[in-house]
Amino acid sequence: MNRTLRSIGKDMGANAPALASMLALTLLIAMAAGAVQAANQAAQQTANPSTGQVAQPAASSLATPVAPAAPVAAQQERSDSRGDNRSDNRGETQGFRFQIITGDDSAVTHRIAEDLYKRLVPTFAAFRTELAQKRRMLYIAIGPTALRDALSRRCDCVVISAYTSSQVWRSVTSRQSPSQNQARQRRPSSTAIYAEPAPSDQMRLAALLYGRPVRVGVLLGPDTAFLRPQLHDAAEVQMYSPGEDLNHTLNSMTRAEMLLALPDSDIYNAENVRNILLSTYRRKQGVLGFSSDMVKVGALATTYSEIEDINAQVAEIAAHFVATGELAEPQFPRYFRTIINEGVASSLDLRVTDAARNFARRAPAP
Amino acid sequence: MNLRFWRGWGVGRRMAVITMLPVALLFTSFVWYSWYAHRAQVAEELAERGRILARALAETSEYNVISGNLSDLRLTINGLVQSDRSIYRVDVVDASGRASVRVVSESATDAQPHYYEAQIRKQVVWINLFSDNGTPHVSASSDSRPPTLTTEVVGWVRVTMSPSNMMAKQTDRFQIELSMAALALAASGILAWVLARSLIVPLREAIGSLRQIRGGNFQVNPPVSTGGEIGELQSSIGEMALALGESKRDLENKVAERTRDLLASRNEALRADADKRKLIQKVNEIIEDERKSIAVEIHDELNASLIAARLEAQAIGLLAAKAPPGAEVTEIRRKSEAITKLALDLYANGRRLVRRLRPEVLDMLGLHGAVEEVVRHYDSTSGCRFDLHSEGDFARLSNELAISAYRIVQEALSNVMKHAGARSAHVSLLLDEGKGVLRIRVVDDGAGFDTASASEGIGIIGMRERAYALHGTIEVRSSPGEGTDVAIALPLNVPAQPSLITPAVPASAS
Repeated sequence: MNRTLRSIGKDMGANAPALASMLALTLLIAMAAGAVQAANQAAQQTANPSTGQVAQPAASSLATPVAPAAPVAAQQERSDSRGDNRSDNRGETQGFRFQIITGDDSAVTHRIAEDLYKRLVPTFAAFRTELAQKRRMLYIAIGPTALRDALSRRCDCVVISAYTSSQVWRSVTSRQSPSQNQARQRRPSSTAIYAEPAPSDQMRLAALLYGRPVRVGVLLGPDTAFLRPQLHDAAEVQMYSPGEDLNHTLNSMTRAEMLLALPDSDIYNAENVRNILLSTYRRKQGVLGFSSDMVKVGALATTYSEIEDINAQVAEIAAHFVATGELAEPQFPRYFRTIINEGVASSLDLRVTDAARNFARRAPAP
Repeated sequence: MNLRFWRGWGVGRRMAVITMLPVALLFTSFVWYSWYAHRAQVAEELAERGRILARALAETSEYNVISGNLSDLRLTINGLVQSDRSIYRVDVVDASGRASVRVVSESATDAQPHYYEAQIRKQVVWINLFSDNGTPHVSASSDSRPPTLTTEVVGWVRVTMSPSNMMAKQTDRFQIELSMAALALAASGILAWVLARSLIVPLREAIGSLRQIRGGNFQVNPPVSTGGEIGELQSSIGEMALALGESKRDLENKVAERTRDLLASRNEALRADADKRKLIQKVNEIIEDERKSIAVEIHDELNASLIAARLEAQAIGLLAAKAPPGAEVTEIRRKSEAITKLALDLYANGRRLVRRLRPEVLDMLGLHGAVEEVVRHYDSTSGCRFDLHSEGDFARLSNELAISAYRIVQEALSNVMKHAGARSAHVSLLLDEGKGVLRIRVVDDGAGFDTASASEGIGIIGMRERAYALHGTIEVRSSPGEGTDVAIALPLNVPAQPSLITPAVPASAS
């Protein structure tokens, strides 16, 4: 079935090249009805975003009363949906189904989708006998493109965003909150597991690396300014607005012993990363990156989450939602490991301890 | 130019040239190549270093150029430039083409006209920076190593190199190579000299030995001082000298032997000659004696009988005159007269015979008189004019010599009479007592003859034999139409028996 879907997607792509790359792989699991019916349903769902023709009847039938634009609104929606699910609308909404939305066809995406599918299937197996139309859809969006796609759907559904940074998640969800009332009505409620490590974990790692509390500096741009209150106490926050001399900004951050890098395309883009790494290195400031790759190209260390870690967390959120009807708040990855660039560490005269190396929070075995 | 100019060269020179020519060529080409290689090496090394330096500086100055930290960059480059004397100048030019940093070396003196340039590229690391570009944000490491790409050129590094320092180093090396090569050349030269000498000296010795051998000294034994062909030559010369010496000794022995044989033969011939002379002398003596006895017989017996017969015939005539005349008486008288006349003629013949057989005139008148007599006789009896010229006292001549001289003159005149048909003939007799020689010469103006072609007549042979028996010499000069000149020299004293020569034994003969 998986293959069938993909081939349909490809055919569509040939007819509409602009959208073909966006939806290469869609997995639809229909647990309730017969296999053929489920397949038809899946084909309809796949065709929805690209053509827009089939979407209208589907949206009408699956419409939810409120579509929140912000996480705050999502909480509101969650409380509503809890009532829908279990007590009031028991006759209408008798179960849940899920769909993994991908934004590209890369190997990593395949790996993520396959692993996630295995983890989610047991959760949703209970609703297999329900009619497809009666079950509430849970979208899991892998990456920003998939998130944008999921949020564009007009349905009474829930979106869990994974593999998208907090900055992008925020910008996408805020952009997806148009002023039109009609559109707002249909917004699916969403939550996210941010792609970047939790700043609190990073802080702990910094302390572990230095063996003492460290003065950590953070550069925040307009898109990441929302993190300022959260970081204000723990780190020296330096604001940066696009167009400023980044070197100058970095130079003014003299007191910090480390720089905590957070995903922000205004600051950490391909052209700047090397410069930032070099500048901080010259001032003997270690950089706590936000991905393994960044550590490999010269950052000092980071906590990071494997695909399985994130997927476990997604499964937990999904299970919690299915069980309680409550959608968790957007959160940083719960399970992580640590990677340290030993070369950089020794250059910075840091003696890396095993405590730092083994700093992790492992996901429970599935 | 004569292409075979080397043909006149000696072995030593050829040897030296053969040895030295390749070495000299090698030396020249080596030196040339070495110099070329060093120069090329400087150029290549400078170019390589220039490029690498420019590249490396471009890499290192990327951050400084981007961050604008030029003083730091200047310090770095200055440290590099002052530490490497082969760098003349380093320029860092920013993207707008403005010179940002220029560091000129304090020690380098000259600069290459061109510079090595490298772009300062801004390097960009393509990793997932969780931007909103579609791909999922995965904080775990991705499988592939993120590529480092360059996007834009932010400036250039231009390195101007200074060749003098490197050139000086290479020149030092070249000088060492040159001196080593020159040393090798000199060593080759000495080697060539030694080799040539080792060839010349034995050759000269060999030539000297050959000269000695040519001079007849076979006792040379040149020492074999070397091996190979020359040693063989030396030993061959020694062997040749030995062989030549031996063959010479053999020859000498043979010659000595032959000489001995020859001397023996000569002695024998001499002895035979003396015998022959003695024999001829003896025969002449006997002939003369026999003639004398015949003359005496004729004179004493025949002539006396003839006189008696004349007397008897005269007596008959007288008787007849007294007898009566009659025819018979007249006839008798006429017959007696005829007999008388016959007897007288016979007597005269007998006397003439005696005179010929035994020239008593010699006894009576001596040689001069006898010759005068015979000359007068011929002068009177023939149409030819004869005259005689004589010098010296012939009285003391021996009888034998006088007879021979007389007979010779007689024979010569007889020849003139019989064959020459001359109008005049001249006879001279000269006695040279100082030299002890009697010279007889008979010259005529007759027909003459060719002495080379004409065989000698009995007369001349007789004369020759007579002269020979007396150890004299006879010389006949004549040519057709020129007359004949016969000169005879007879020694007054017959030399003693010629000494027999015994062969001298050569000292070297064994």
